[in-house]
Amino acid sequence: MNIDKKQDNECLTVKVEGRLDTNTSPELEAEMTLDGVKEVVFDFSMLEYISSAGLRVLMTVHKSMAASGGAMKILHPNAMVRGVFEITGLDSVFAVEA
Amino acid sequence: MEFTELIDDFASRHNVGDLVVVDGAAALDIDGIIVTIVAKEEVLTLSAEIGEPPAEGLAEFSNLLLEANMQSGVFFAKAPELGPYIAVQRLSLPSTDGSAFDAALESFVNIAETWRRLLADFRPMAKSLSERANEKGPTLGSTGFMQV
Repeated sequence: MNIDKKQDNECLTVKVEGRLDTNTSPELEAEMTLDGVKEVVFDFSMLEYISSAGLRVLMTVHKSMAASGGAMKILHPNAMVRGVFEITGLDSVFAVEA
Repeated sequence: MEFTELIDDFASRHNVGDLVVVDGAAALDIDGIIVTIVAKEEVLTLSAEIGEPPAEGLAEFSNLLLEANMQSGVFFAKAPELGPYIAVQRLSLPSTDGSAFDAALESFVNIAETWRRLLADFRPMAKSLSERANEKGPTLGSTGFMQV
């Protein structure tokens, strides 16, 4: 998995490439330092796979952002990742944009 | 019961360490199985990943899951392409109290764990038969025993 982070003022864009699973999710969680961040944008255009461990990390970030009055957005997930969001019902929790 | 009340009640009674709760959703790690719980329009959706489709015998394993569908109220879904198999159970939020939630969650985690193990140990039948056909029985002189 590759993680590419860019911060523009209070907006943190995180591009995740490869697989977000049990092995790689702790790495993403460790990378998510959110001090001073008001918006997190996950770019999932290159994300190939997401497991429940990956969903848990997204929920953790979503919770942090909600607690600080910020927002989290997920951009360009592939059909598989969108399918996981729909099956689990998390498509109604996360802001997802095609 | 309200969703947050239900989850807080569960967490306080079960000493859940790794719990993430956001508005209308929660993630619990129960014995290594991460269960996501989403409340929407008075329906609770429990879900847990079973694992990735097997490299061989995908149709055979999918048929096993289809046959097991809706036993104990759990159904199985697969994300598109080579996405994971996911166990799902839906509960009515207004009619689920603390003890009903405990029982449902315990049963759900047991089923998810069972199918996770079955998937991890899965060998397609066709493969197993051909492997068996190619297996050679012991022959004299190669058994390690001395012939007298």
